[in-house]
Amino acid sequence: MHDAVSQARFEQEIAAIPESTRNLRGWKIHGTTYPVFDVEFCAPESDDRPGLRLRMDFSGWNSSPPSIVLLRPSGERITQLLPPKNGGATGVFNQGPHPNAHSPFICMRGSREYHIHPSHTVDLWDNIKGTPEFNLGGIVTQIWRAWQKDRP
Amino acid sequence: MPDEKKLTEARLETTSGSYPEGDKFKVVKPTEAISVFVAEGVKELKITNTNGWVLVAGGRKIDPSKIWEQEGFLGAKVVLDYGPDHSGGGNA
Repeated sequence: MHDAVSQARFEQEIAAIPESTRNLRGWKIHGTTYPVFDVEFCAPESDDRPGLRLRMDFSGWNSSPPSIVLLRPSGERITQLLPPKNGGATGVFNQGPHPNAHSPFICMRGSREYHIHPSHTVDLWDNIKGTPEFNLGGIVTQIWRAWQKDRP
Repeated sequence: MPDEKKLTEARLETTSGSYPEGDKFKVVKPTEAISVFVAEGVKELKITNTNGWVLVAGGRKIDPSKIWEQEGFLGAKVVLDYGPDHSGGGNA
C-alpha cells in the first residue's frame, strides 16, 4: 500500500478514538506520529503491577498488521514478562524467543509478530484486516483486555 | 445507588466514537433491552460488525439482552464500554 494511504488510514483511525473512551479505559497516548502509535495502559493507583506501554509500528497499514514492542511506562523495553496475575494466562503475552522477531511479543491475531511466527503463518492477516475488531482501535482494545487479565 | 425517580441515561464508548457524541447522555427506557440502545449507537457510529464484542460498565460485563432495570441501572447514568474481547492467544 502507498505510504500516504497508510498514513491517512492510520491518522483517521487514531482520530476516531474519542478522548472520553481513552479516559474511561486509562489509555495515555505518548505519540501518534506515523507510523508509530505509542500508548500506555495505566494501572490503577491501588494496583501492585505496573502499567503497560505499547510502541506499535503501523508501517504499511493496513496491508500489514502492526509490529508491537512492549515497554514499561517509563519507556524501558520489557525483557522479562511478569507471570500472569490470576494464573490463567490469556496466551497473548509471549516471552518468546520469537524465531523471526523480537521478544517478548504479542502472540495474537492482529500483531505482526503473530502472523510471521512459523506456528501461525497459515492464519492470514488478509482474512481479517479491515474488520472493526482488527482496525487500529480494535487491536489496541483486544490487547488492553488481555492486559487487564494478565498484567504482565 | 440508582434512583428510581431519576431518568435512566446512557452513553456508549467505542474506539470508533461515542454515542451520543461528546460527553452527552441519552435518556433510555428502563424497561427496554440494553441491546436496543447499543444497536442505535452501532448504527450511528457505522460499525459494521460487532461479533464477539463485549459490553462493560463499572468494571463488570453487562448482558445486553437484559433490560436496564435488571442490570441495576434504574435511574442511573451509565457509561457503556463496548469493543472486541481479546482473541485467543497463540501460545506460539
